[in-house]
Amino acid sequence: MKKLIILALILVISASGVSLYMYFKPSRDLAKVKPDIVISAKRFIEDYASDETSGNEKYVGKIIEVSGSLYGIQNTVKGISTIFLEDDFFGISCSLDSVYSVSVKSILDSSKEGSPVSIKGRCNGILTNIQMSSCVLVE
Amino acid sequence: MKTIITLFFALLFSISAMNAQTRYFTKTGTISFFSHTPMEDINAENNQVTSFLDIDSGEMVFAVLIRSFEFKKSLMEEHFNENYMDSEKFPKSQFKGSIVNINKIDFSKPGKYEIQINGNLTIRGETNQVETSGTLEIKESGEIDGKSTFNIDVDAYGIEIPKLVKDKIAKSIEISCDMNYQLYKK
Repeated sequence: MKKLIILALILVISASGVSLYMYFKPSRDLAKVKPDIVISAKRFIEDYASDETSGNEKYVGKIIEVSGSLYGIQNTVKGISTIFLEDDFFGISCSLDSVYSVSVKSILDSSKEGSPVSIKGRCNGILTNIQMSSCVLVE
Repeated sequence: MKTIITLFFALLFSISAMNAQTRYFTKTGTISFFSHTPMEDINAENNQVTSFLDIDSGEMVFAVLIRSFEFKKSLMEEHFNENYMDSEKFPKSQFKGSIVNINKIDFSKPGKYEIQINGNLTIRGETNQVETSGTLEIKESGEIDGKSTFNIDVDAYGIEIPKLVKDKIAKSIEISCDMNYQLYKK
């Protein structure tokens, strides 16, 4: 009987531990996450833009590593950088989080338009641009 | 490329006959929302808002991807997309309206101006009228900062909150918009 109670206690404690962990789990840090899909920016854009529905099925929620040409970088007042690949309207918009934006500021400041970039992020879908968030630069 | 964009651009450029000189835009606007209850505060932010503003007519449109709202806790983000917003079925949300007192703003004079906004907000396929106030700040650089905060009722957009979490999610959600507009040169 005593063993049973102890067992039950252990179960309860570990279950609440897991749920507390799940509850407080921060949004993902993608630096160490393996991408689901590795693709070129041009291919990604063509593929998505030709059929949004199938693009959504294929890419939304997935971690994408995309390589393309740097079109520009926009910084918000709060210090969040957004990197545009290929185009600012029909390209890929990659949002970095604020802490990460600060840590790569010098790299971003020195990068030139047209230079090759690889970025890993989570695909959220397409407005005019394909949008990715939680993005990190891939060395 | 064409097909998908058509619908969205039809919306953006339904501000159609705008004079190029008076058309402003942003693709990195911020919209955040805030839910307050005694049990829990929840906020999320979207930094990839696309918006156009015509300073001649006062017309404005906003479009967002629901999935681009980021939360501090990933589980909340999951619940938001799957349980409440059904973002697979309704991936986008938009606002189309105008600044009704646009004629009172002197765009040649830098400074902060109070604005009244009137328009239609579509979330989860449900459209409701929104009337709110805000500010436009004309900067020396020629850029324009637009800000507004208003509340929406989740009921009005068919968002159902299960009994279990009723105490944690507010019925009225505060929406804040912060847009840094640049002249649209294309």
